[in-house]
Amino acid sequence: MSHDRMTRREFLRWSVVGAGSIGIAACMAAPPAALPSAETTGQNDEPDKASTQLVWWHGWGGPSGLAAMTAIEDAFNTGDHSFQIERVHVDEMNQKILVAIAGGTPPDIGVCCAQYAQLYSRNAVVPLDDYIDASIVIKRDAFVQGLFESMQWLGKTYGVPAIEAGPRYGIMYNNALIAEAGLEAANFPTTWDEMYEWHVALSKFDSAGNVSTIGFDPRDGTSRNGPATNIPQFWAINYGLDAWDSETLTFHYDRQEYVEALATIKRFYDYVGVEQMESLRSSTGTWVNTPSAQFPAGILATLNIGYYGPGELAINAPDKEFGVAWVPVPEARSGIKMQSVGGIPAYIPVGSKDPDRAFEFIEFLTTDAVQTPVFEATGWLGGRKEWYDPDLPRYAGRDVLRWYLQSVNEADEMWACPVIPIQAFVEDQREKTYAAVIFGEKTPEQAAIDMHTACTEELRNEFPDLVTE
Amino acid sequence: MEILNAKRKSAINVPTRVRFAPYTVLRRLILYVTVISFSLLFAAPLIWMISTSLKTDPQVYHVPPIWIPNPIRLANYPEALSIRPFGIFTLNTLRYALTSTVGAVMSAAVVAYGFSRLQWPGRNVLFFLCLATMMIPFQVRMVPLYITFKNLDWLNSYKPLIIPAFLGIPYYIFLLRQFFLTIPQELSDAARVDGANELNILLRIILPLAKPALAVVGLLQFMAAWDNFLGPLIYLSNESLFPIALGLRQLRSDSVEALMWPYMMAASTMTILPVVVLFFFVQRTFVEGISITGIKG
Amino acid sequence: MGVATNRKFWAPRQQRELLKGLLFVSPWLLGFAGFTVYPILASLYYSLTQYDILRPPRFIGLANYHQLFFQDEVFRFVLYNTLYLVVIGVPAGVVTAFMVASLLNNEMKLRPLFRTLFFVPALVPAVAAAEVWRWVYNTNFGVVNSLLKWGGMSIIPFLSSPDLAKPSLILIHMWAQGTAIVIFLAALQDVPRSLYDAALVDGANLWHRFWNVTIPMCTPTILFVALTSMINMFQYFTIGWLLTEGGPNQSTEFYGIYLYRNAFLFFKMGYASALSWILFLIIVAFTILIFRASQRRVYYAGDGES
Repeated sequence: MSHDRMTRREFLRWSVVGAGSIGIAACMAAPPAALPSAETTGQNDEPDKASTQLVWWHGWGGPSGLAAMTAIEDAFNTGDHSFQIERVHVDEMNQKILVAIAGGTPPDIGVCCAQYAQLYSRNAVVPLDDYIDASIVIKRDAFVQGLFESMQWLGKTYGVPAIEAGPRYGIMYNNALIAEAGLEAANFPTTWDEMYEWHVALSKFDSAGNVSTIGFDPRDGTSRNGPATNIPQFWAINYGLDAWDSETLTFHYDRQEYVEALATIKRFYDYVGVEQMESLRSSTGTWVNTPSAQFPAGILATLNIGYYGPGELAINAPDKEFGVAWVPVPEARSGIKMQSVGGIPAYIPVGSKDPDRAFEFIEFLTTDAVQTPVFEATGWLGGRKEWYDPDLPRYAGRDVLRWYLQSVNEADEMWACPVIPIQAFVEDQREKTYAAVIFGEKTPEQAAIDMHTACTEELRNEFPDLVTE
Repeated sequence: MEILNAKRKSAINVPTRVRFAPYTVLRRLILYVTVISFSLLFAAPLIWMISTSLKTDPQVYHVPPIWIPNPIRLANYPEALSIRPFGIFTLNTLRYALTSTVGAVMSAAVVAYGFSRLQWPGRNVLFFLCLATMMIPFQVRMVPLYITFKNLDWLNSYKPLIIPAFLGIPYYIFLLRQFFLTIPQELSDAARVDGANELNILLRIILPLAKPALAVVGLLQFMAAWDNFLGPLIYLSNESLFPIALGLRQLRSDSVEALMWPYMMAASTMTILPVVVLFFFVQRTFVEGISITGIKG
Repeated sequence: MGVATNRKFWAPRQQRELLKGLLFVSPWLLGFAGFTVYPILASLYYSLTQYDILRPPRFIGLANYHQLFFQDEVFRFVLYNTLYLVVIGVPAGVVTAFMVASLLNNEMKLRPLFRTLFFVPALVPAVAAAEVWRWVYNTNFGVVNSLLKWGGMSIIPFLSSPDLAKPSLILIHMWAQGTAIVIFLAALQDVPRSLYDAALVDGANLWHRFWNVTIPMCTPTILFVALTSMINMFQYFTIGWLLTEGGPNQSTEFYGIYLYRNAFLFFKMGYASALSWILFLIIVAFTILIFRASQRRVYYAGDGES
């Protein structure tokens, strides 16, 4: 019967696949056992051994970030400590840590890249006040003002500034592009009106109308972020607006300052064309940590960026020269120098096996033994005041970085990072509000009111017991 | 038995061809031109992927685009795959895909047997329920399932992804049931007279006849597991457990935004390769299986 | 088969049959109870609560649904975007698959090769497909725009324009139709030759034969493919999440994406559950609608078997 022939041929074909899979299965039986994965350490080890290994999650990746984190792990594990650290890099950290805490399988220590305020306000991380008070390594006043405040919720401290902290704002410019446009760095704009003129002078188009160089992108670098516990919302505070009142726990997005800020963003987009600008950015990338991103690649002339900008540019755009200036402000606030120092917390999730030892590791994270290799790999500063002295020998020759350090002392306004319990929602609203304005779907007035209403309602729904009216 | 074979033959060997003498040459020319241009269109993104995976950086950003890189940079492959433990990701995925495939095929066969070859009160009601569950979006169950798995202590393991496959996936149950219905009842009756029990009939008579249909279910599940992103994203947190889909995502976050296109494309190529090889081996059985399962109506 | 009987329900033989039947379907029953019935009931309950999975759920009645329909401005975008995807994307996918299958159904050399070429995109995992298309659509160096720029023309902002983002994603969907193509191919091969011969005798041209013979004979398959594709499309997530994350200007904020955002970024499991229930009801409504609309048009070849 034809059926039998078919089966035989099939049988042959399947046996090839089968043999292949068995081969593969045989290969994979070996490696996982040899790997020190969390799965095996958590469950299979003898109990006493398991208690001496703590799991540390961090969200930073990238070659330099990973190099720094590995250096920290090695420094700790080769040192004289009563336990070992197992380092795990976690992508999509925010969602993962939520799921892990809720699932009762959290890491013992977490650093970076979560919605910290949401975790603090939902009692998902351990309050550290008692630990900090008892610590000889961590003294609150040894850290830059404002950092510990950005890690507190309703009077309790949930994090310690570690690994990455520093000034968030400074407008860096590409010397060659500015010279090419006949502009002078000495006259760098101090207001948005002047900045707009530079934007017009610096932006270039090809014959078909495709943009090839952009003067200023209001949604790249630190202009885009916030409001978060590690960075404020630039376009609110730049207009002098503290959009989150931490005393009364209310939003102020309905204020005129915000409307004006939104109008300014739109102005920069309108000149180039919003789709042109979005296209260029999405095809090249943002920030300064890749050579092909629009600023390091030399197709964006100016960028608002944090203190890590010069260090990363030295790696990713070694052939270009950059300068730095205070970020422009609106006409009405002319002459004001604004800055903000934000930082990343190290925290202990609820459910950590051994919070005492976890805190010991957090103490370690704030020491020079960690900060020195981190600075060498990534240029990150950390939260201790002693690292902010521009005259330290390690900063010699790094003029742009020294400008950032100096700016902390010279700024007229130092903005604090807000702790908003519905942070992810507000950031999502910010993104949607900016988009609605630049794509011309809403007027700035309407967009501001809508964002204010949405955030206010959301807070009332999620934290009804906090909102008093 | 005869009917079955006839049906099968028609599916494989007899294309619907209508003779149309005067225009034959012209028609064939048009046909080939259309098919070739369409297939090039479909293949273009993947050719572009492979081409990029072999490029050096200047070639990547060259205007106009380069299709055939020269020189070819093969080193992109080992370099891309060493940024992250792609070997482990691949093994994780294979383990997940193979076990869940075995589970899905086994359970679908047994359940489909109950829904097609046995007569019992309430059968059709339950089968209708089974079909109806196909309409329930995963998102509806996502949150409570997550909490259930948390309570079962299954998080951060492949259990939430594999065990449900062993409990029957409605789509596959439906496919196999449709096929089982076409097998003449007399075969089972004869076996019953000889004293075989139902399990024997399933194993000895039905399954051997259903091999292509089982292959379809197997390949569909294998592909689904290989492709699954949302499930692992939610249930797994340790990198050492990640399947290749999450690994690729990790690589993307390493190479933030536009950096390292050749690496991304090399890793993507490696992600696709195993399934393409698998399909190459089973494609005839697959096409054949689809034509004999009930999918087409 | 399946004829309702009026015999005594609990006759011993039937009891035995019932037991045997239940035994065979027991894996599914177990999964159905544990991983379907319980979760959807739980989801119904959570949808009436405020729940962040870190703290216990708090009962708030229909407040989530009220917020959804009367306060949530984004939800309207989400509904529009999702319906756009379903109403345009599903037919586009089905038509593409059917056309390709019809082409492949002709006798030709190298058919297995062509079949593989058309099928391979369906094998590409969504994460890899997202990367490949991100690169194809790249506005500076992607294959299309690089060529346009070289030719001195203005670029196409595939994923950066609110008007083009959805069509661009639908194009990816149309590209990955391999499974549907194979299913259609199987259906086409089963259309009896005799029908074509008869049509030829009647003097029907190619188009008439396609329209009056091929399509009617394949309607059950078309219905099946359209239904499963629709159900999947309502849950569209991975490629959209990886490529556009809802932007630009919310033009790709689809149901699955918005749901995920609420659950895992905003920590609003209760609200996400309410969203998912509405999605379920929409899918049921669409399924009924499609079945109703197709009743007169679908042709089932004479067997009452299934």
